[in-house]
Amino acid sequence: MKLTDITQAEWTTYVGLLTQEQMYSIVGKEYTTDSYFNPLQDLNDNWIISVEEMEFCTNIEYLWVKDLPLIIYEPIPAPPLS
Amino acid sequence: MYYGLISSMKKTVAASYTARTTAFIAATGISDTTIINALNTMDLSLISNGLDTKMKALYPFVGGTASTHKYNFMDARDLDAAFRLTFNGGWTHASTGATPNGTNAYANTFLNPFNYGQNDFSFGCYLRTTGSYGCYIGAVATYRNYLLPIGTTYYAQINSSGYASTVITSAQTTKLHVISRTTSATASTYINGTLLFNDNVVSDGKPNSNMYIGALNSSGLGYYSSNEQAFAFIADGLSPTDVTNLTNTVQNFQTTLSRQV
Repeated sequence: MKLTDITQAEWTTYVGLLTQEQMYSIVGKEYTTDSYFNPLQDLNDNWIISVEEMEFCTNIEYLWVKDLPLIIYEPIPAPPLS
Repeated sequence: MYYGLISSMKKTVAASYTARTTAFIAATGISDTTIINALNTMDLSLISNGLDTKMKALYPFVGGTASTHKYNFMDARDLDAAFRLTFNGGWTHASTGATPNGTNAYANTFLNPFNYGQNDFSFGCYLRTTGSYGCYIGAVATYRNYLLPIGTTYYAQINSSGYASTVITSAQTTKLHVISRTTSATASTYINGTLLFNDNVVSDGKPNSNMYIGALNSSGLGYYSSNEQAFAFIADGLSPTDVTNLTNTVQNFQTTLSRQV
């Protein structure tokens, strides 16, 4: 599944799947003016970025993120507060 | 002669904004007079209520882009030292505010509470959309500073290692949320100017960690929220009267911009 296959209402359901090399190449880099990639790992240790980062990317060095395969986001549960 | 007089008067009017408003519009490039007048009125209200000297960072989220939302109204320099935000992960910017995606989005304020008074600190934000999970603004490093709902449990703390929470409804996750500590004994949390609860948890230290907006800055970054934010601030401790005045100021600001909730 690709970015063009989903609706905006589904943005929170899916994330873009990165290889480890791709993750290293974009982490902390600007995807559009004053906005920076923040790759993180999901519950299955996949490196992912959000659909917003893919959709709003205008940096010509990283336009390939728009073609990343989409997977359903499975977050790592946050550690307990207490 | 009359033309010259009128032209001179226009120049006088154009120059009548506060220094902070002038600096902010210069930094952001905002030319919309509705926004500029709203900012100026907000600043005049902060000044008249003695709130301007307490504010360390104030993010009005106007202009609709990351490049305008990033600026601290109190110090509109494009520097970490001026507490200019950096937006990380997936944010959506609009004329109504900035919305983190609840997945990996946060904004680093570069403001570290460790550098401010243990019993003289406050922070908060104006939320336009509901969302009962995730940190609106906060940092944790042994000691806890956050506004953080998890379902109906609302965790709200300043400079304490103990825990404090109360119960809220989903409908209460909008409008201006403020937490303030002015004594070692108590921190007070307000929603839309009304006291929600006093936590009675004694302050015992300050997190040495930057405050984040949209997520919790802790050893494992998390608790990502998805509420749209239309205003956020970090300040010295606020009295109940200060909170009332700030609430009125912020609500008037949002109403002028037709984005009040």
